[in-house]
Amino acid sequence: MSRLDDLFEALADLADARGESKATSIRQPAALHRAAQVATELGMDESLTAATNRALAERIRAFARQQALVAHLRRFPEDRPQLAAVASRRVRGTGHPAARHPELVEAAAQWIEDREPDWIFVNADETIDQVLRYVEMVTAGVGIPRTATA
Amino acid sequence: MAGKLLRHLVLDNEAAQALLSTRAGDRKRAAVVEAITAANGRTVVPTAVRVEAGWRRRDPGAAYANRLAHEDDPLDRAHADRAVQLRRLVPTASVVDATVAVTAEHIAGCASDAVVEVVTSDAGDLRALATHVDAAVDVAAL
Repeated sequence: MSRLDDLFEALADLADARGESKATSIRQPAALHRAAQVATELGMDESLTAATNRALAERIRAFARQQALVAHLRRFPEDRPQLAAVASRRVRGTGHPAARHPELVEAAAQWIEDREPDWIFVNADETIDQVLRYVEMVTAGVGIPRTATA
Repeated sequence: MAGKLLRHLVLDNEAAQALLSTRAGDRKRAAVVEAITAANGRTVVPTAVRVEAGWRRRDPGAAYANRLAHEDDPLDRAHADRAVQLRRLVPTASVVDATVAVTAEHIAGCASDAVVEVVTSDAGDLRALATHVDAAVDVAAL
């Protein structure tokens, strides 16, 4: 079993809430520790421990997801999806403007793919979000001078 | 500005089988990988689907599929009751279809703006089930 599979096994245990808790000590910048304490007091999370665990789990899940995709596409390169297709799929069934403007999704995806052909190996999620943010900005009229009305 | 989109994914039997395929150029597997890439939330396989698809987590051949869809949704007492309820509403739906619909409802949770995509070869029954489910479900035919 590879180390990546070890990671997924640990994540499966995490999802099932199996396993013991383990006391650990980590060094944090003092300012980050203080900020986390204050944010917890303000209601960000139920405790500093919960906040730390949640953030760490989210980061590991995102990392594992990206690594799994990369491993799969290295074995099956023909499965690589098109950026425009995944961006359109992410908004299907939502009210996001990209769902109504496939031509803008196509244009933005093409522009990004030309600049970063390896987008799926670098950070697929972030790249999809970039496409969607672009479409959102264009449809909101950002950067388009408003014409004066009489 | 639109909020952060959250898209979950539930795999039905044929999607699970496609993901287990090691055949070069498998078009259905590529379609499932596209769905997995598009989903930025949870990717879940109901345990009944795993049984039907013959997906044993410990089989060495399942390693790649396990990584892309590592989360199971077990059919516990509450889920079984809900599946029975849904099958009474859509009698043509299979047991597995009903558990897929229950999983979709379960993972949507309380996030009212989340969409749950279901990848299936049985779009008709899943769409009928989706109308009775308390979640925004996007049924994609494989």
